[in-house]
Amino acid sequence: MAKRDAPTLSESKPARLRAHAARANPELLPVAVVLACAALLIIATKILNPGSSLTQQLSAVLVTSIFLVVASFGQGLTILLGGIDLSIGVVAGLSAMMISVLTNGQNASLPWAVPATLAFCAAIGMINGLGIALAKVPPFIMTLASGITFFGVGLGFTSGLAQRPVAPALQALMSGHWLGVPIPIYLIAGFVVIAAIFQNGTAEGRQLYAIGSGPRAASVLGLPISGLTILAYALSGLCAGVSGLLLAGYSSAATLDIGDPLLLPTIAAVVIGGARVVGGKGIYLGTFAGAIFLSALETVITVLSLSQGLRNIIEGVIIVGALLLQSERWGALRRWSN
Amino acid sequence: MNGLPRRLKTLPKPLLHCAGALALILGGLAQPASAQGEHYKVFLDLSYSGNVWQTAAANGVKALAGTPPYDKTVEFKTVISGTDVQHQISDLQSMIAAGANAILFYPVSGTGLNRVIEQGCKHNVLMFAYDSTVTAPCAYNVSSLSGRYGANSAQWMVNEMGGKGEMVINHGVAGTALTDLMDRQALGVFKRYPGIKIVGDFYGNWNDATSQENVAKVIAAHPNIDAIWTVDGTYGSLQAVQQHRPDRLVVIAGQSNNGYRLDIGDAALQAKGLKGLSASFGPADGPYAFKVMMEVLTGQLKLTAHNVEYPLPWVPYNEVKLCTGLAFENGCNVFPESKVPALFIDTALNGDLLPELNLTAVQNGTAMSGATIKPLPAVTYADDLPGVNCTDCKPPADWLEPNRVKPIPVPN
Repeated sequence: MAKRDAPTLSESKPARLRAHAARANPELLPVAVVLACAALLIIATKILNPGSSLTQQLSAVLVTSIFLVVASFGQGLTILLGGIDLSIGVVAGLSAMMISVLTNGQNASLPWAVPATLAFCAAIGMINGLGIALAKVPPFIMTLASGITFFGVGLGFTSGLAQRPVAPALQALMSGHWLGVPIPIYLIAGFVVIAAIFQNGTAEGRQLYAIGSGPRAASVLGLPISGLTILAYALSGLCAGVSGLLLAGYSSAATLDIGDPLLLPTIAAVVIGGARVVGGKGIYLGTFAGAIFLSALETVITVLSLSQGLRNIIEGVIIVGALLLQSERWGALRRWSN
Repeated sequence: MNGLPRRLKTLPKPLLHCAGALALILGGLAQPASAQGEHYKVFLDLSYSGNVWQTAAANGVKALAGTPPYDKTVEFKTVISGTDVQHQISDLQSMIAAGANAILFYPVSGTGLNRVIEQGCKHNVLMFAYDSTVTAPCAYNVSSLSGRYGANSAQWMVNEMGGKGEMVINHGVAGTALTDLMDRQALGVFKRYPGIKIVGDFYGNWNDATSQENVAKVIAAHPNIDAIWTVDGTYGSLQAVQQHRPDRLVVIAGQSNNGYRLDIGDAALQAKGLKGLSASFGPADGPYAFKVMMEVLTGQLKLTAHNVEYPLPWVPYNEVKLCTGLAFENGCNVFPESKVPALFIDTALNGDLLPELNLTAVQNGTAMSGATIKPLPAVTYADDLPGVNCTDCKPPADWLEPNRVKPIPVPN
């Protein structure tokens, strides 16, 4: 069960490592399955369109998944705690608008505009965390309310008008290449390593699992539940902010609703990646695999020109299927792997 | 000018609706329902607020309401109803109860508001819908829907493509009447040309970032696409092509963002194959509807039908002309990059029908300095479209066909 999956904080280091490896292996299996499905989708697209380049398809899927890869890390942390962050789309939109307003098409202001924007987004997440941890407001109400409120703040400041283009350096970051590989792919690689290390390799990350698995037990153990809850939501705000910066750079112009399409896919990516929706289980590599899978799926659906109704059915079935598989806890696959 | 203080607009929507309704009812208690002399109580009811299109339309209306003589004769209030039908019904009822003489509204639903619209008509309130339409017989619709964007833009693209090639469809928002109507018109044209092959389509949700992501994916799978048809999200769609295939651009039709118009008018990009049409639905429809409504309210205009057409904006790549000032004058239709953001929608302005508006007016919602309201030229009535702007009515026999662009023969 979940408590069995959570690390024991008093274990010695070698024992912890052994326990960690034992836990990680079965969780890596769904990651491999989801990534294999994504690879099959990309290959299927190639088969359907023999004239296309597999490399270019892979590149397009990866580059367009970066927003989801980043934002769903934050969503994954809140779900790990048994919560949810419904303000992600709004925060991403605010981030994109703020960086456009602050840079106004100039690189000179980037060194302070980027930290200021990210600090603002992390602060929104921190407010969510404070409301949830200290005022005990249910996460979905707290994050929904803060999303509506901060959208209003953004609307008040910008009136919903289009903003100036973002700094050219940010645009170059999202459209440039290094050694023939799009820069966003390097960014994804770096982000995945950092996120995976934080979630599964640091004390704070492991403590989040403990809280998600059993808040009372975590409290008895003396874990700083409130502090870690605030940290998780602040990181979610920060990730949504980073995602908004990247979106603004990719689109070269920002609107207040630019982040709206991100919200539901972040939840789907976490679920497809094998995380338990009530918390305490799931690794970031799973979320990453879920994001890549969704991006590849969207490509196939677009290329096949499916009707919107059928698209929704496919996406819904996949999410429900992932939840059903969770109920079995990938048991069949584990038994097979053992 | 604006009925709700800006700080109220930052409140959560439920609070905003309650506050708006209360303010309207209290206002109604203080004022008689009918116009007194030349003083009119007029409401603007927005649906969604926060996107570029809606903001530009609302600002244009606010600027006109602050332009003489309306600045003295009109008590003008703005209410944001959101995207929920029940909220809009509730807000419209409050406005009627508050003694409105005329209500200009962006309808959330084509049929769901009919009852409250009829209630308004019974109270002698002029009910004007803009851009989107309603089927209530007593309401007035001011829209470009009958301009047949879908059919005309599709035919324009087919002609530019020589009747053959690979293309992508960027639909818009699934489940909306507008997307359905435009798709039916456009697909009807494309299907007539066997050489036109639709290799991918997606719902870009009228969003540039979503459109850009999807076009990037389609290009990776179909590196030889020749054209992209859109209703909105056009600038994002073109950005994707410029990023992923900069030396071979496409034939494209769609919205009127300033960055997009600058691109399609750029000779260097045209040399790489870019042929663009900037048309689609303009935010200036809102202020135009306001002018029509005010002329009816003040007795200057008597409408003989309830469906009025706002002329469909239409600027092909070879007719893009740069403006030097802040207004569309002398036939210009795009601003330099230094003056407006790339996503500013140029069709927020209309030099012929709305000379009272300039760039500052539609960006800030304030009246243009020194402007006075000019009389409108004769209005054009729109086609009746059953289920769109009427119920018991017949559409023209060719309502899905292009009426602006002459079709080329189907190539052998």
